[in-house]
Amino acid sequence: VSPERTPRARPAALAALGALAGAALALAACSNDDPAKPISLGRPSPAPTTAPTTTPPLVSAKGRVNFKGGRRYADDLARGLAVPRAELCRELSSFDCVDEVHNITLGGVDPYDAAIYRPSRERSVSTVNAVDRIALTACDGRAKRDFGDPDRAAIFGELARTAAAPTRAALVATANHLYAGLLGRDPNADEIDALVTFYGDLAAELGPSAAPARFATLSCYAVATSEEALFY
Amino acid sequence: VPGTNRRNPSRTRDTARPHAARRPLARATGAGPSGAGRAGRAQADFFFFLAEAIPVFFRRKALFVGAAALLSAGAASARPLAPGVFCQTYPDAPACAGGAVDCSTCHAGPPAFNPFGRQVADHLAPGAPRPLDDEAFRAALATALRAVERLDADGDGAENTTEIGRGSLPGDAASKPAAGAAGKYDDAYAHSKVLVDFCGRSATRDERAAFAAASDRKAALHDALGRCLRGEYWRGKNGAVWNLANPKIRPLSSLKGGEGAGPIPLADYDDDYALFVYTQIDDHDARDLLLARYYVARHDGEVTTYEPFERSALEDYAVRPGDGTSQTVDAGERAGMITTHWFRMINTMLTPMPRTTAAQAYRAYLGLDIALLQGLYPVPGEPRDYDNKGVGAPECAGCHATLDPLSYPFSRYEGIDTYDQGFPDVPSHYQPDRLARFVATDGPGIAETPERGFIFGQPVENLIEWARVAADSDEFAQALVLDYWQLVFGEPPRPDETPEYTNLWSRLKDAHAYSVDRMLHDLVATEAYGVP
Repeated sequence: VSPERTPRARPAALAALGALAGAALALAACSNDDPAKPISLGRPSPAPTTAPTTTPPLVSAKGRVNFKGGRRYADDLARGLAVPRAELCRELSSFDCVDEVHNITLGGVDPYDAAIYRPSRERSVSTVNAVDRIALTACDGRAKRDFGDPDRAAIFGELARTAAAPTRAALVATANHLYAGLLGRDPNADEIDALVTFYGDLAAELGPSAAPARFATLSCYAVATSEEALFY
Repeated sequence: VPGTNRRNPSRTRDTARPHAARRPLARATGAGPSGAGRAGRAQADFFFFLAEAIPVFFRRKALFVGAAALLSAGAASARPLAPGVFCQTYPDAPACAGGAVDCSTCHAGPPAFNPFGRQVADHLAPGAPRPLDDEAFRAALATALRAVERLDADGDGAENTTEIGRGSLPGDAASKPAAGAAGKYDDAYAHSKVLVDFCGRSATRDERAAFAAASDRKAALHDALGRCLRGEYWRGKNGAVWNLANPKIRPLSSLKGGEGAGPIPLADYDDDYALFVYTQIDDHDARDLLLARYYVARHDGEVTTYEPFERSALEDYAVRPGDGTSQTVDAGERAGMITTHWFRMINTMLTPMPRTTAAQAYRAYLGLDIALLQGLYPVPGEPRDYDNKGVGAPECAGCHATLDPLSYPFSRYEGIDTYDQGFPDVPSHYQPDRLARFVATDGPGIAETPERGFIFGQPVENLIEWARVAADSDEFAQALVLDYWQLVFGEPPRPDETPEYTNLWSRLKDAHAYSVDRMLHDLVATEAYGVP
């Protein structure tokens, strides 16, 4: 990931990530029910007092959650974003992020040269950095493809095919594409609202011309680095 | 201490190796017919090999020294017999489900006791003269264990007997009995897991919807598993099954022969991986890990396929000529993974008494690590110390009374030998008189080493019998299932899951005729797998 790709709206992205993992921002639902109407910018306020629209998560009896590992995670990302696996993420444009550079830290093995026969049970401090780079690179690559050739867009067509500010319907469609591709399901109402709110925050910060492309990368990143995408 | 010549302590096993055995190494340095152009790289790689091999050698040596020191220092406290006595006293304890209880049950790090170990020690034949002989120790330990059952050694609120019965550590307050998971099998959850575990990918939205709509979800779940088990992620090169073999094969690219050969091509571990995967798929008998007299060719493609073949050593050399490319033991002396060219080369190497080889076979295929005092079945009168290494000393004999007779059946199989034995002129690397050539370095006793040995305390005439006893044992089935359990769960069975684990390996032996595929269909139907 080159420096210029580093998202400026990092706090907002993390807020969105937190919203997807928890319930706090899920309550910050957009009250705009007209899918054709451009959404308002900025965080809606005050926070709604109605009950969340999603069913509370079930409590696990086993509490057994495993990291997918680099290989499976990358395959899921590549398929979910319709990016060729070999082009998903390459450090220095040359070395595959998962199979070569971050293999061990992502739970891989290297039996032939390094005598690492089994995946480490513990994740290292650099695992999160590796996941971060892979997800951000993959999402940025998808966004660039879609905004570069909107007619053949796979995920972000509704954002890329218009110069106008995206409608709520376009944002909902984007959320649907992301959740279907990366998590294999539809987003619920809270998750849609969290992304719509996030777009509002981003547009307020970056302006309406820069926000759609940046939103594409960061909304994808938020979903791709959710617990649901990383663990099973 | 193994590796030291007692008559001449300055000579270790490596420096004392036979002259002929040095030839492949001389060739590797460029002195042989490899050619000057290759010499520099080969020499550099050889030193790299030494840099890798020497620390391994000394680590192993240090392990033996360390074990000996511990046993010596704690002769009355850390006894090799103790894990076995514990499991004889509590055969249903979850800690014994894998075959042997862990040292941490009684020790904070042998020979130091944890609180439970101290309680037991306090009740161990108090007042009786020390040291206790083995029989007195067995009886006293069983009595002491019973005596402290109702106590709470670690003060965590659970009696020792409760912790033993439910699989937590009675000497560790941080380890408490599990309450037991309550939950309901969720087939949609299991279906999603099956795709990740066995297909290597998450379910798509369409797949989830189709599963939810299936009229027979149980059948749909097993259909999905069946498809995954036929897929490349599961059975391909560097796939899930392939990688299970890594710690058993212990490959090293610099010594590889055949495709992608390293600079010192001594043997080709691709054969080992192919045989391993073949035994684990398509309802093949998994015991062929130790019983196969055939080898397996791998055919790469969209989905990798495997094809067994049977050739004598000479026939195989004719088909696959070159350095370290073929198998060098005839079918009659083959015992699956533990007689492959690679396994013998990387474990036996240049040693006359292949203790490392036997220990690795025991660890890799039976889950028993002698260095951790597991699987000890001392044979009366052993160790005889045929190679004059001093293993009869009391501090060594505790393990070597099992390890040495376990090793004898391996002693007729050559390790690093392709060049010095003149293969293919010498048609097989199973040599009944192999040990005679080590007399000059290991003393006359080495030639008296019998091929007859013992496994699980049971006599066996040769390695073929050794492998048969091993393959039919509970330990083999337990270790096999444990590999897959840990692959999908990332951890050993929890105490409340022990009955399901036991059922899996029991049915693998009986109902499933050692088919891993069928065992896996059982596994995904367990509550351990399907309860979120």
